[in-house]
Amino acid sequence: MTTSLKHINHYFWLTLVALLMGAPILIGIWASLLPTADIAAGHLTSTNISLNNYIAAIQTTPVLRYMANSFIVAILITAGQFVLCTLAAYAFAFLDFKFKKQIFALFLITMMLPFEAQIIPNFQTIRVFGWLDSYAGLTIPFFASAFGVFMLRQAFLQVPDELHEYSQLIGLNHLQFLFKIVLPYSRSTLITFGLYMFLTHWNDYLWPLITTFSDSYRTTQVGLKQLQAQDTFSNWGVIMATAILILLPTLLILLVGQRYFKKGLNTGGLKA
Amino acid sequence: MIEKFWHRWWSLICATMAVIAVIIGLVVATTPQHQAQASNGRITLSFWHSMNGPNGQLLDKLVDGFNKSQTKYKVVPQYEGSYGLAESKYINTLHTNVTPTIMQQSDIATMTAVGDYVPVQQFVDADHYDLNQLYPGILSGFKLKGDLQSMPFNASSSVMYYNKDLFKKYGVKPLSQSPSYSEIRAAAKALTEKSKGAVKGATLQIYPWLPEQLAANQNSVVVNKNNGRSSAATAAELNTPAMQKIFTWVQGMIKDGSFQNFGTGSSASANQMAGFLGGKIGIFMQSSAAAGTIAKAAKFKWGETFTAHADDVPANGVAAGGASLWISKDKSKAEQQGAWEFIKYMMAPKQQAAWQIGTGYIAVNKASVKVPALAAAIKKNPETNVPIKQLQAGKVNAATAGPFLVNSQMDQYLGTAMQQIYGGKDIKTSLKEAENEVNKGIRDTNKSNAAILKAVFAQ
Repeated sequence: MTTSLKHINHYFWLTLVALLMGAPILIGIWASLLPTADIAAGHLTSTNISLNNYIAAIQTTPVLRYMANSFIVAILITAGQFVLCTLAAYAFAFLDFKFKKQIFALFLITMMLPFEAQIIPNFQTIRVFGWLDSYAGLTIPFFASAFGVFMLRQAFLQVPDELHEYSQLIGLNHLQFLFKIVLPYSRSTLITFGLYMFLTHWNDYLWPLITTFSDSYRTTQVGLKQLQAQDTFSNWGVIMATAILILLPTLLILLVGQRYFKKGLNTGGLKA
Repeated sequence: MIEKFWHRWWSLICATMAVIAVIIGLVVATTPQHQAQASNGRITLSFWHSMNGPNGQLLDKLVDGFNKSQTKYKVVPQYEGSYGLAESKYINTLHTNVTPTIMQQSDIATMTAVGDYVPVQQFVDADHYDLNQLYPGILSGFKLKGDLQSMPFNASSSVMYYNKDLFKKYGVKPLSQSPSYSEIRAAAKALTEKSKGAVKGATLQIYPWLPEQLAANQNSVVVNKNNGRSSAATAAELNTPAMQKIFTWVQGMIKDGSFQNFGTGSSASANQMAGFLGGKIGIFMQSSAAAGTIAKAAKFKWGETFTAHADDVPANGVAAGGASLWISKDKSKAEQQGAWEFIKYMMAPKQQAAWQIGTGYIAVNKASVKVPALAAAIKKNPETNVPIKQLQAGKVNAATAGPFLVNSQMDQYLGTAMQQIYGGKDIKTSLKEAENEVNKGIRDTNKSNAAILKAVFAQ
């Protein structure tokens, strides 16, 4: 009896907090179904609930193009980071070379430097390269990631020494060892890393904002801001519908990858 | 120990990674340089603008019309955010692969100081284009030493909007065509009292452009040296009788309880619009370019009048607001010529008429009123022509040319003063403080940009 009372108590509070946390999204979904005229007039309900805003969003705004761009950018960055971070992390985990500790410390130091502080030099660089308003300018500055190197190095360190010795015994070279043993062994971290990077770069705002100048390369987050009118009046219904559309891929990834997110964040620092 | 399955899977992953790496390489190698590549033999001209919402859609339609009207050029419009954002993007990307050929911008002073454009006057002279077909009151704001720097494409003026249905419902007499401060104050008070506070009579957004316009309407400049038109301004003139009258009027309405303050920040303007559309505000002052939006969204009868004038000063007229089109220097002769052709097309009577009907901006071409569509729209609702009538009635002088000030903090400090005054602080003190701060900014700007300013005024 007391346990079920406890349960009820728990669920009551959890539901309340869940509603509170979910309120912005729930209100957003609701608003996306209302005609804009009603939203503008401050009505919370309407006799005219429909999916018209979604149809208008797809037909009158380049939201699909924005989403395609975001997708391409996030995939390219994730792939680029996979290649570079895996190789760098392998070196830090399995190779011995001079100043290894110092170089690794240097990598970690760049993690402490917020991206916002690197924006001006990065902007100047891609400006000179002529990469403004291109996929190259949107993705290449993110290919190297100290966080990725750190996370993968931690995962690689968990590969048992016996496996390393065994692979040397049977004559595997570094690349063979990496592909046949290390990567399969760390797959859950790799999946977590991939999902995390994809989400982070799907949600990028500042960098695409300052380096894209046409709808051909604009990403969703920047595109969404563009829909908001400055001094005329915003079509809130369509804006909310677009926001919900943009939310869908992220939600999908979260649902599918939830297990890996938890796992990855928990196992990151087991063995230093 | 290692299962075969994973063997296969990982070699697949590696293969995919290799493929993606190749793709990345290709993406980089084929990144277009955005220069005027001939697409189907056409010269591509990129056009940065700050029009969105219904105005942006209409602009796209007009651009499409230009592209269909000829086969030599293709204009690609790109929305780049507000005027301020577009300007900083423009300045930070000068001489790069993305520099636009045609730029829409309202900040004539900064564009002139940056100086990376070809004055439109050169094309006007070479083409013997007749500037007399455009309203001189609008052109004057975009001239420097008599030369037209850029083409005022989307001109607006400030007007007062009011909710006619509310006036009728509470038995308040509609506003006259050119209302005085006391007329507006009386109407606002009556609306508030008769609705028992359900409606606030009036508002004046904390948006420095509005008091600047109200001052122009009293023939008062905002900065010295003829509003900075004859030489670089050296001091602001904010603590003037004109400004004092404006804010005495506002404080009077605040005391009456008939004034709604929508505060500052990016949503103040949207909230004000929502308040008006929701029937909670009787009168507000805004750019005539808001008319298109109100026409689409308002479910009541509304009216438009001239900008309010002080009781003891006859209306002098207001400065044309809006923005103009600039032709980039950093482009080939062929591209610049294309930009000029585009500008000519956009300024033609038909295009300007469509622009006024759809947006509330003023048709800059005098012949537009004879275009059947606009003539019919004006006949149906004579008030759509209020912005032009106001401009025609106004005088062409330093006050109505508007201030020419490079990179000042005028907006910031005049905005602060407005906030303080709305909060009940003494008008003269607030204005004096703002004036001192702006003067400091002007002194610094003039000192660090002496060479640029000299060049601007030596033209």
